[in-house]
Amino acid sequence: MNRVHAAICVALLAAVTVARAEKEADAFACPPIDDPEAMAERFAELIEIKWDRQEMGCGAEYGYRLATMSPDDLELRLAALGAQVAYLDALDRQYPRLYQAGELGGELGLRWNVTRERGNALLESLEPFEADIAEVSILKAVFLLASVSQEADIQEEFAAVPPALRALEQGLETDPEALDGLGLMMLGRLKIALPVFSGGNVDEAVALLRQGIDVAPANLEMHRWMVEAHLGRRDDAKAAEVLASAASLDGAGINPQDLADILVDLGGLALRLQQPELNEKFRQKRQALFREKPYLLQRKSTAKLGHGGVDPLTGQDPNEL
Amino acid sequence: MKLSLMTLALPFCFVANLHAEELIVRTGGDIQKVVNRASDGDTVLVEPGRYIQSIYIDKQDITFRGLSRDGRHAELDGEMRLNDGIIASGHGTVIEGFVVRGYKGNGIMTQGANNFVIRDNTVHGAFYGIFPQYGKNGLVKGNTVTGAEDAGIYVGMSDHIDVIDNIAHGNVMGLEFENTRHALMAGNKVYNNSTGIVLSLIPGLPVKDAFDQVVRDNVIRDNNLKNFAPASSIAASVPEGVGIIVVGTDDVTIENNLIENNLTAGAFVVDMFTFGLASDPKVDPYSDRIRIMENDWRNNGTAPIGMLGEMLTATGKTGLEIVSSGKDQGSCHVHRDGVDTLGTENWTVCEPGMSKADYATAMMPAPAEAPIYTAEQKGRFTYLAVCTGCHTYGSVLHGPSMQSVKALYGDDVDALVEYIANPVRKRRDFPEMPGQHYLGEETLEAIANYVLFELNQ
Repeated sequence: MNRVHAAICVALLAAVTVARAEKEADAFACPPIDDPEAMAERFAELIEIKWDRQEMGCGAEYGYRLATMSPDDLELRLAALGAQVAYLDALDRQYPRLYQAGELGGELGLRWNVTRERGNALLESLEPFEADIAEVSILKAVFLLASVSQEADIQEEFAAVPPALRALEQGLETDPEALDGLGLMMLGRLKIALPVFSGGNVDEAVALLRQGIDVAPANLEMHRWMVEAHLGRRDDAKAAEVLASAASLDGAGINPQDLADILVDLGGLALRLQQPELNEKFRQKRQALFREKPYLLQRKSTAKLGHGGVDPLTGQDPNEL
Repeated sequence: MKLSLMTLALPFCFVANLHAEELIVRTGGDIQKVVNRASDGDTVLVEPGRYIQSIYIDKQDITFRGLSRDGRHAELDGEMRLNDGIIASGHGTVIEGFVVRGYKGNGIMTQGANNFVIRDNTVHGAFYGIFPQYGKNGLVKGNTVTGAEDAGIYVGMSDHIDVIDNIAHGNVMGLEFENTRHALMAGNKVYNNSTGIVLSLIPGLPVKDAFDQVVRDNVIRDNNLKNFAPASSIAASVPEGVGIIVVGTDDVTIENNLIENNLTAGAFVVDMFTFGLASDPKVDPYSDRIRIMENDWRNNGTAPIGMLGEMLTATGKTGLEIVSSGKDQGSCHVHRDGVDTLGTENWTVCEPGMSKADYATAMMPAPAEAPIYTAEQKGRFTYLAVCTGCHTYGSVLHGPSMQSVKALYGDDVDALVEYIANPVRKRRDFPEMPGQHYLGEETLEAIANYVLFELNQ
């Protein structure tokens, strides 16, 4: 049995698990589309609608269906896995940060679980290619980490780190520039996040992210994490330098919801670095974006169980720029 | 002109204090009614007995005291139906001598109250046992707190606070300072919690830093309890088996404590990234300048448990007294034989001059200012303290979303006030809401105005 056939068998078995998860999430069913071309069109369109979890969820579902319909199309399977990762990331941002109980948590949980199952199925079918294709290793790592950021206990979260690290290192060895430097950014982020005794190292993070910026100089998220890496070294001057160069980027080609979110992060970092002028630049860009696209999510702080929400003294959202 | 007004005001205050009264709640009486009759500066005495009530104090300088007689106490019981035991927003409130049990939210909470004292109470259960929030210059002393699903004694976003001589056991976290500045924990007994003491900086809150804390002369032992926080809450990620955790807080001194039999580690100094808490770019996630001075360390880290246990076991090291994620700066500890550490390579040796062994209090030398809150502020404070236990804006928590409440009531403040005070079950799929009449009309109106006209605008 060749690698493609093995992958197809694995995918069929995994499809059973996915079907079970999908049944639970029936409430969020997407309109059926029979024509593969029409489905591919909707996939490409909906997966970018990151401000609407139902629409984007349908994008992720169509991507998965297309991949299972054409199991020998490696590129399509990669794109479908990337779509599951993107959807998990979008859902992750909609979970309340401190407390997750309640109806919204239930809905997000159902969406999360079905997406995770789809991702697992795609990942299993891609595993035979992991050793040779950097994109597979890197997407595997990103999926492993993304899939435990919600709906998983902290043990599962930590258990995902070692295989993700291995996959990232393998992918970067094959092609560090794959997926526009995504592997470099993810490994850099891990090096910032992990304790030193588990492999964390901010100096290595700086080197990785520097390489990442060379590969993708317009990537604002890469800049965001480079600022964080410099702050990890307590090198505020370098951090401010990177932040200033991020402020000069126009964000062209970035999904508008991603751009709105990253501008908050960059503005927050500017305030931490006591650079109010830079914060003002990011704030103005964000306001302009909301004026142009008022449907984007503004991520207002919500209070739960005595925490969050506005400052009771001032009425201001503490997370606004 | 200003000077002459101040001169006139002083004798007036003196006269007001001279007329402070003692009001007594007879066994089985309505405590809130008596509190409502009290004037600023009065004392409300509650006779022994069981009171199934929630109490709200928004007057200034009220002493609220539970009396004990022949082994019987003034006991507030929420019967796991009521949300909060005692909530105080008045400056200078003293809450003492109560047994508080069976509340789903807060046992005792102060909200925006400065110069508070919470003393000699016993709190069983509740999500937060004793929870002063947004306060300046407060004392939490001599209380016993057990069974909290989050923290037993939880000081949040406050300044100049002493937590002294308390007992905290059987909680997820025994004692916690969260986003708090200038604070002391001393003489407490903290045992059989999941983690004994937590000094934390939490993202997304109005206060963006935590610093200047001293933890001295406490007994911190056997904190190995299985974490029983609800899976969806942030407390669910608190590790088991740790004596003291510092996460994100700066300028901490830990000295002269007995730290014993905590199975995972004696002390864990960690940045917010490691706990997945670094989601607020405005917040510095690193714990810097942590000084671990002389302490009595016994048998810590012998059998690491839980998530942190797995991480430590992977390093092949056990028996650790001090563990650091290794990203802090300016930290030090006193090197001693038998004190094993991990991740402290960049720590220096603490100098004797750094000692805080004689640090007596973090409280202010004079009372903090006592600002009068506007109706808007009162509405926000009380909404946060009371309503967010069951409601959130865009989604169902336990009760309906506030979005749906706004849609239902439009701008009809009176109707919403009436409902909050005396709720009638409208939908079978929601639990019955406890009446919040004890908050009083003025506060209920402030909450209703906040919900209908300000929330999420």
